[in-house]
Amino acid sequence: MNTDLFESLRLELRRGCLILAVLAALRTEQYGYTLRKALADQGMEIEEGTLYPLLRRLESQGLLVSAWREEDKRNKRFYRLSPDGKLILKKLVAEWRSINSSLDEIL
Amino acid sequence: MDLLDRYLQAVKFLLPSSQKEDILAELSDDIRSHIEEQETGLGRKLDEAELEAILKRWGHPMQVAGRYLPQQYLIGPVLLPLYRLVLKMVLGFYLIPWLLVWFSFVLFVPTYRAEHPGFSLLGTLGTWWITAVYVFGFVTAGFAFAERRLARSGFFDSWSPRKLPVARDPNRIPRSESIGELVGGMVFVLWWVDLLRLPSIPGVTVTPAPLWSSFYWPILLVVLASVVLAGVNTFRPWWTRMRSGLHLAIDSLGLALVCYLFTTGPWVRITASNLPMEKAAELAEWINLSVLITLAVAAVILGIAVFRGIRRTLRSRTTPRGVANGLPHPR
Repeated sequence: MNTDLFESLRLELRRGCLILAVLAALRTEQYGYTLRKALADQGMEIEEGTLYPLLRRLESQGLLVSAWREEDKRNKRFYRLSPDGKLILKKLVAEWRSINSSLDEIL
Repeated sequence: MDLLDRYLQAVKFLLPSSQKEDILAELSDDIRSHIEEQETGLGRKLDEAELEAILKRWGHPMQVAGRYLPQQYLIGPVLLPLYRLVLKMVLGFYLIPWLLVWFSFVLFVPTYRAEHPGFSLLGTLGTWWITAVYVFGFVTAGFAFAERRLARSGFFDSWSPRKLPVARDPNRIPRSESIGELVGGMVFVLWWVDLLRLPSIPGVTVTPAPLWSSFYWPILLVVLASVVLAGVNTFRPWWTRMRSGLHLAIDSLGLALVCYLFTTGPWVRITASNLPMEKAAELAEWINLSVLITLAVAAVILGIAVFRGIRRTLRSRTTPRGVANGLPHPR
């Protein structure tokens, strides 16, 4: 089997899911490092190089809000869902469940 | 932490200026958190190799910075295939034929070599390079402009299938092509058998070199065969395997003849009673040069025809008989 092809398809499949996972995880405020660890602990590994640009994109789209705050003697940028983000997340979760149930039927 | 500072500096250099400090602070904190976690686990400071491994995992500074930049391109995926096609056409129909003509001059025109000895011969390619760069630049700039205009003009929303070009059938022979071959071939035959005379310069006699007499019949037969085939193709404008094979054979023979003639200059002699010797020699050189250019152009045209013929023959082997684009043809 072509492992490169599988890897590329796997990444494509995960890409959309990552946004959903990040939004859902940011119902509670977190900074990048802890967010990545929390996602990894739940089986959703995400590379640093992917996570931070994604957080910035979601923030520029108005789905997240962020603030710099000091913790453990270092400044950290904390992210959480914005009100718009909460609405979008709700819709995305409904969409995800619908896709999931359709796929379950198909598979 | 020297390595980390160097890494952050390299990333900073490439980041968008409005977010530079912000991104860098977050990136720095994330890497430091990671280092601290690893150091806590090991119970000691990381050595340089371990730090290097962490930074390599983050990625090359250009990759890291690139992820923060908006996706940008000069020519997007929609126009890229057309852009490549145009560049290929420029290369195939203009730049390569030019090079072939230049090679012909270098190989078969001793006076050309004499006028440009040594490396100055390569200098004669200067115009070719400049033209290639200009053409590449203009085509790229044109497509980059179209990319920006098309995206904003709503071109991709206002299209209609009715405006698309008529479906091209690779087995169809354009009538204009057959008529062109027919008329061109007939004019050549009439001239070749001396029934059509070209205007001449008073007092100047152009005498073909003796080699032409040995090629009189082969050339006449090849052109006549091409005229007959063009006539049939005009009235039955679709390729059959037989006619496609015949066309390929005629073109190949023509190409072989032209290539051989190439190596046998000078092709004409000049007798000019009313011109000084020097002028007559100059005129002879120019006429022979014109013959050379004509032969070079004919070789390129026939080369393309042979290439197309081979492609057509190969295609017909993989396509069911009488079927093209899923549509059967009358025979």
